[in-house]
Order: sequence, then C-alpha cells, then structure tokens
Amino acid sequence: MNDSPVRVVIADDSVLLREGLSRLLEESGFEVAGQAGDAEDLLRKVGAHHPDVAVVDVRMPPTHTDEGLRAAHRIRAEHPDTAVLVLSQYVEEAYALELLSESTERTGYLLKDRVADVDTFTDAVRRVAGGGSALDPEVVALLLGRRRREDPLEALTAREREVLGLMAEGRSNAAIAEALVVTERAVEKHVTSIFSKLDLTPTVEDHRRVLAVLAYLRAGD
Amino acid sequence: MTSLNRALVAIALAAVVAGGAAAALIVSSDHTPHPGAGIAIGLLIAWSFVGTGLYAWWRRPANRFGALMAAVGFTYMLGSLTASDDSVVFTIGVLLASLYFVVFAHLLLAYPDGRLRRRWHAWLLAGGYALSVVGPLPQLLWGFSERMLESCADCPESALLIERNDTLRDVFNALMSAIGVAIVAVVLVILIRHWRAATAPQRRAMAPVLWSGVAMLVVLATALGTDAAGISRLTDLLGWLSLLVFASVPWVFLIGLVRSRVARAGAVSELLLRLGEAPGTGTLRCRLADALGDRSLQLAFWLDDKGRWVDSDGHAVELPAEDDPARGRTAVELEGRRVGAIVHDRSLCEDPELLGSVAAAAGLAMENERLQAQLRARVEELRASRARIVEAGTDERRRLERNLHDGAQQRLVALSLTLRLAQAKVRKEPDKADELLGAAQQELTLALGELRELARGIHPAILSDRGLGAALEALAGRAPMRVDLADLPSDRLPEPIEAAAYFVVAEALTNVVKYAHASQATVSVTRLNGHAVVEVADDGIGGADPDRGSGLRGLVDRVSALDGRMLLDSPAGSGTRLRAEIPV
Repeated sequence: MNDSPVRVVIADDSVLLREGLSRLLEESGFEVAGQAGDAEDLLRKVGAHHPDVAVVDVRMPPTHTDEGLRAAHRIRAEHPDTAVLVLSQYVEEAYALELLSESTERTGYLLKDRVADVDTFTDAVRRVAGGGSALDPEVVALLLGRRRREDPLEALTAREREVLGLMAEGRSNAAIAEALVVTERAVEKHVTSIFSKLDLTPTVEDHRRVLAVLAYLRAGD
Repeated sequence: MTSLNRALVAIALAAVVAGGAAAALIVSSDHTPHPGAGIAIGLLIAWSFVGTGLYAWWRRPANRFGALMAAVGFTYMLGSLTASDDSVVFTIGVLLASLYFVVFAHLLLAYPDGRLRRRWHAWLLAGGYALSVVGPLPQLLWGFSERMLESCADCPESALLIERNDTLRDVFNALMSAIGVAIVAVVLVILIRHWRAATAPQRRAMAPVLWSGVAMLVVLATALGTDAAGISRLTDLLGWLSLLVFASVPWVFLIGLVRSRVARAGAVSELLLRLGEAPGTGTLRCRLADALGDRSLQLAFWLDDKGRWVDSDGHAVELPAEDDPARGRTAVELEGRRVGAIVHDRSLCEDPELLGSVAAAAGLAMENERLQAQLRARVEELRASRARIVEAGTDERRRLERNLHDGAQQRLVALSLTLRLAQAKVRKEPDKADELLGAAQQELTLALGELRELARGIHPAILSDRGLGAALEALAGRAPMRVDLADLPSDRLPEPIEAAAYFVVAEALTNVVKYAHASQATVSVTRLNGHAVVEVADDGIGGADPDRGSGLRGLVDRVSALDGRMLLDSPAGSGTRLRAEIPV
C-alpha cells in the first residue's frame, strides 16, 4: 500500500453507528469518503467516490433483510477495485460463504460486534482493501466445529487447527506467525502438513488458499 | 334344516307322544271323575307351554328361557301318572305331580334371559325341587287325609304305605306346607326385587310373565296355607283359580312376543318417517330412544381421523365393554363404513332384530350427526389449542423478559457502573481507568453475544432471508452432534409453514440432544401430496414420551394451527422419528 489513506464508504441505516464507525476509522487513519443509509444510496456513493473499501451492514431499509449483502455482490461485480466488508448482526455462515464463494479477493464478513475491537476491525478493513479477505473468527469456529461423518479435521493437531482457523479468517503467514508468536517458517510447516492431511493442493497465494480452505470446510458435511 | 330345528321338531313330537300317553292313562283310569275335561285342560296347558317354549327357543337359541318353558309343559304332564290304576305308577305320579311347579318358579327366577342371577337362587330351587318330591311323602307313608279320600275314593293304595297314622301325617304335612310357603315367599321377594331393579324397557318385557307368575305363586302359597289350616272349600276354589292363571302364562308370553314384533315393526316404520322429516340436532337421540323405548339410550359417533368415539358435542366418550352387564352397544354402519354406535339398555340385546332394523334405519341420520359431532370436536380442539397457544405466547414473553433481565440487562448495568468508575479514575489513575475500560469492553461483548442468541431464538433472520433450507443448514451446523440434511425444499414455502417446520426441527433437535443419547440425526423436508413433510430421525435410545415437556405440545399446537398433524414414533431401543405433515 502506498501512503495515501485508505478511502472508505460506510453504509448502515443507524446514523449513530455510521457516525461512530466513521469517527473510529478516521481516528485510525482512514478517509471516510461517504456515508449511506440504504443500499441504493450506497451504490450511488460507491459509483461516485470509487472508494477502496465499502463497509456494509447486511440489514438495511426498505425490507431489513439482506439488501446489504445483495449490494455487496453488485459492488464486487460492478466495481472490482472496491473491496467490500460486510458487517452482520448475526453469525450466519451461509451469508459469509455465499459472499466468499466466488472469490475471496477484496471481500470480508465480520460480526458487527467486531467494530468495538478497533485493532481487529481496522486490520480487517486494511486487509480487504489490500486485496485479501477477512472472515469472522466466530464463523470460522462454527465451520471448524461442524460434526462430520468421517472428520479428517480430527487428524489435525491443536496447533494445526489454530493455524487452519487463522488461514480461514484470511490471515497471511506473517500475520499467523505474529498471532501465534512463532516464526513464519514454523507456520509454513504447519500449513504444508494441514494441506497434506486434508488432501488439498498446496497454493501460495493467500486468497486462493482461503478459497480452498473454505470450500473444504463447507463441503465437509 | 339346522340341527337346532331338528332337535325342536323332535321335542315337539315327544310332547305329542307324551300327551297321547297321558290321555290314554286318563281314559283308562277308574278313579278320574271327568276324564274328558281332565285331558282337555291338561293337554291344553302342557302343549301351550311346550309350544310357546319351543317357539321362544327357536327365536332365541342362546336364551335358555324357551327350554325352561318347554320343561314346565313336560313336567306338567307327569301329573297324569296319578290317573294310573297301578299302585306303583300312581305313587310315582303323586311324588312327581308338583315338580312342574318348581320348574315354573325356576322359569320365573331365570326370566327374562334364562339364567339365574345368583348362586343361592340355584340352592333355593334345589330345595324346592327336593320339597316337591318329599312333600307328598307324609300322605303316602301314613295314609291319605280325609279330604283326599273324599275326592278320590277309588284311588289305588300308596305303594309306600307303612301304616295309617293321622297324627304323624298331619304334623309332617303341616311342616312341608310351611316350608313350601316359605320357599314361595322367598321366590316372591326375589321377583319383586328383580322388578324394582329393572329399567323401563326391561320392565316392559318382564311385566306379563312376571305378574302372572307372581299371581300364580300367591294363589299357591295361599292354597298351601289354607290346606295346612284345613279350610277345604277355599282350597278347591283356589285350585281352580291357580289353574286358570297358570294356563294363561304361555299365552300371555306369546301375546307379549307377538305384540313386541308388531310394535317393533311400527316403531321402525315410524322412525323411518320421522327421520325423513326435519333434520335437527339432538332429536335423533330422542327418536331412537322412542323407537327402542329406552330413555337411557345414548349415541356415540366414530371419528375416523382421530380413531375415537365422541358424543354429539364432540367430547370423547367410552363405549361399554362387550360383556358389560348393564349396557349394550349396537354398531351403526353406512355403506359398510362405521359411523357410530347406539349405546342402550342391556335388555334390548334380547331383541337383535329390532336393534338391527333401528340401526339400519338410523345410518344416514347418524352420518349427518357424526359430521356435526366431528365439527364440534374440531372446534373444541381448536379452542383448547388456541388457549394453549395464547398461554405459550405469554410463557414465551415471560421467558424472554427473564432472559433479558438476567442477561443483557444485568451486564449493561454492570457496564454502566464500570464506565462510571473508569470516568472517575481517568485523571488520577489512568492505568486503572484503562483496565476498567477493558473490562467494560469484555462485558459489552458478552452482552451483545447474549442478545444475538436471544434474537436468533425468537426468529432466525436467515429463515426469512434465505428460507427453510438455509435456516436448517445453519441449525444443523450449530448442533452438538452430526446432523445430516437428507432432503430440503429447493423453493420457498409459505412463511408460516417455513417457520413451523423450522421450529419443529429446532425443538426436535433440542430433544434429541437432551434425551435421545444419539450420535446422529437426519432431517428431511419433502413435499408430498400437497403437504410439507418434516421428518427428524435419530439413532438414539427411543422411548420418547409424546407428552414430555411443553415444547412438543407447543409444536403440536403450532402445526395443528396450520391444519397439520404430528406423529411420533419412538420404539424403545430403536431411535425416535418425529414427523410433521403440514398442508401447503
């Protein structure tokens, strides 16, 4: 990333939350290019400002169901340079997987609560803006926790499961190493072992790797 | 010709032969004053008992009453042995001459179903049979009385005569008469008790035979009494009177039988007419009660879908057992399909033809009333289920309030306190304040988590957004055991059905986790014959109780509110299968 601040458009029907997010992001060095109260407004603002990231609430007027999610799909399709970070009130793995199924590039799905954890949140915004992905740890936990018929995940060591979880969240090897306080070399070894145990084709690129892991976790049942 | 009919014909022939023999005896007798009249009266009485007895036997082969009646006729003919000029035959005739009378008492006690009702009645009758034979012994052992000799001067000598002893004879005679009166009195009391215990239709059937029998007994008891007292003129008169009453019994019985057949035909045709008139609720019972003459009559209607009996108000009723001593039941069918039952007095079972014709006539009217009863039962059920739904709603609100109060609300109060503390310390002890804010942040995360779970429990957003399939996938993903989704609907179902189906699966899975000790559950939602069929099966221990907990009850209400139904199949040891069928 270059030095110019990451530009963000925020969409949420709650003014209070929008303002709070906006202040939080600006204090963390982002530039808030615009705010929107509904999906239509959001699409208009994205079209006008070409932000690096759109932070989108799932539920918005008029139906308060999933228009945020649908808007996110349109943004990814119509504005490939704009990353999308969807915020959800609920842990719905179906939404997350739907969003990340085509491509994990510039896409993220976080629980709304996460915004209070400023570091995690800004890190996720930066990650998707930089072309990566972000998946909420609770969604990952849910996917890892699913009971399967013959569960190959049981063959993984505890540390390998941690690494797999962080990979699914969209973290790079460096970030994983930092989170687990180990060397990147050690992380690479774990990753290789995981891929062989799960019978997955090893891949270097982070977003491809996330896609493979998610596809694996989803297909598990 | 059936074996029964052959037997009846044989008995009739026997009666003719016996009658002929008796007549021959009387004609050849040298001590019978009016042989012609004796034969005529004797045969008339004997044959009318045998004849009506055989008729009754033929009509109701299961009822022993007819056989008893015929027995009265046969034993009555034994009296003609006294016409014999041979001393031994004459003596036997005297001994057996009153036997018919005990058979008659037996008949009365066993009326109308041919069975004695108490064991001691049999003992009483045994005593009567013994007495009837022993009774003439004093006369035979110690010589005939003056009166007897007067009326039968030419009778042969008793074959058992020891010596003439008037004192001994009179003492024993008086004793026998007293015992005879006592037995007759007990029989009378029993008969009056039977009458008092009888229901109206039973009384109507009993009346003719019972009252002529009672009259006969009274007359005989008086005769025995006066005989003992030696009032001879009265005894003669009473003898004729009792003969008259006795002779009338079979005819009274026959008239009753014929009248009931005629009345029955009338009642059934009137019933048909009245059923054709105006349909109205409640009156069917009255009409059938009139036709059968049983005011205690009740109707029960069969609900095929529920598999139970209800009354006309739709309330569940029990039918009397097959062997219930007081109540009988007669099935009513329409085009081979069971529609209901008439519950009536047991005595009507004596008349299966009448019940059959009434039941046949009532078929259509019963079907109409059955439909109404079914409607009422349904309304009743809906009312109960609606009340439960309202109650469940209130319970649910209470539960939510408690969860909010104990959970998120408490956390927010604590959070507010922590923030207040942090604010106080922010200048003097910034480190402490920082720590407090961290704690506040944690508290807030927990509160948010609880709120999220609570909201999902009320109604998962994904259900409205993405439909049943996605919601069930999410549910399965959160279950603490393996849940296989076998079939899921590809297209959306109406919202209330999706919600009901979702909560059926959610509750079922909760139960599986709580009780079933299962390692795996399978969920399927299919569309079959215009129904959404939701099935949750597990491989657990089975033996689930359908009444367990309010959760399942609530689901049944929820499903039946959509006109659906729930089926629970949970044999012990082979898993549980819960199935809900909701019309789409």
